[in-house]
Amino acid sequence: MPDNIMCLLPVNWFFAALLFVSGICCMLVSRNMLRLVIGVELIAKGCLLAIIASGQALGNMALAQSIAVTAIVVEVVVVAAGLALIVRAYARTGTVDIWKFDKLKG
Amino acid sequence: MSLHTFLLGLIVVFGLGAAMARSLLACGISLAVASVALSLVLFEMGAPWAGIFELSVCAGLITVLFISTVTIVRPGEDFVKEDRLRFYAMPVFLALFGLAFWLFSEPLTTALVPAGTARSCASFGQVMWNWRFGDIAGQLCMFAAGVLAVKAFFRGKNDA
Repeated sequence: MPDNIMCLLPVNWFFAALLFVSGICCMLVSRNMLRLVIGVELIAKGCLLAIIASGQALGNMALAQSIAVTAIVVEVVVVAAGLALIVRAYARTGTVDIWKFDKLKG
Repeated sequence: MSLHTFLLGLIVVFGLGAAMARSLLACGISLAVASVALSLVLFEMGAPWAGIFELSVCAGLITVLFISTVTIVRPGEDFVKEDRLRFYAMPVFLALFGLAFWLFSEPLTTALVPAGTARSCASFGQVMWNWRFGDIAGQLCMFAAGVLAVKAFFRGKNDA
């Protein structure tokens, strides 16, 4: 395994972890549903970086890329469905505040 | 500092900007810049296909969808009163987490990467079409599910 790639692996994982945690923080601190989608996006970016960094370290970049492409497709479908849900909820209630959606609360 | 590390730092800075910005339009633009930086990192790491997908889908399509949604729900955005103090605490928490991760992540890094790995000479196309053909079927199912979900959310009054 080339030394420079192994030196880069902790750096890549460090930044991937930072992106993952910033996405979780974004989802935790905000009440706006659009910011929740941004949090999901940030988490997905961290995962994508971790997948490619692992593929590079293991020398199997083609497999890592195929998994990354699948992850991107899943991400875009989740985001599109989530944004559609937000627009629909806004049209019905006039707000995007997640705390106002308590009709389903048991 | 190498170009790789600089680009990674750029992703985190703009990602944090997307999470913290007061205006949702600024959030969308900041997220798009983070996506562009990530695609440059992927190109630089030798993953051009993933980079192209990230650039066209995440930096392009998702940004368009997000900004369109923001323009629709903008009047409602004003009614969401959020505690900005929690947003300002995010960089501090992230810095503490980064420090702890940098200090204690070495055992994890060495444990997860095996010492000897079988390098593959197969191309992206070979892997995608021959080895992981099930992924393509799964992706088509995901697209169909997404289209049906959006169709269901915007169902008209006269639809069954």
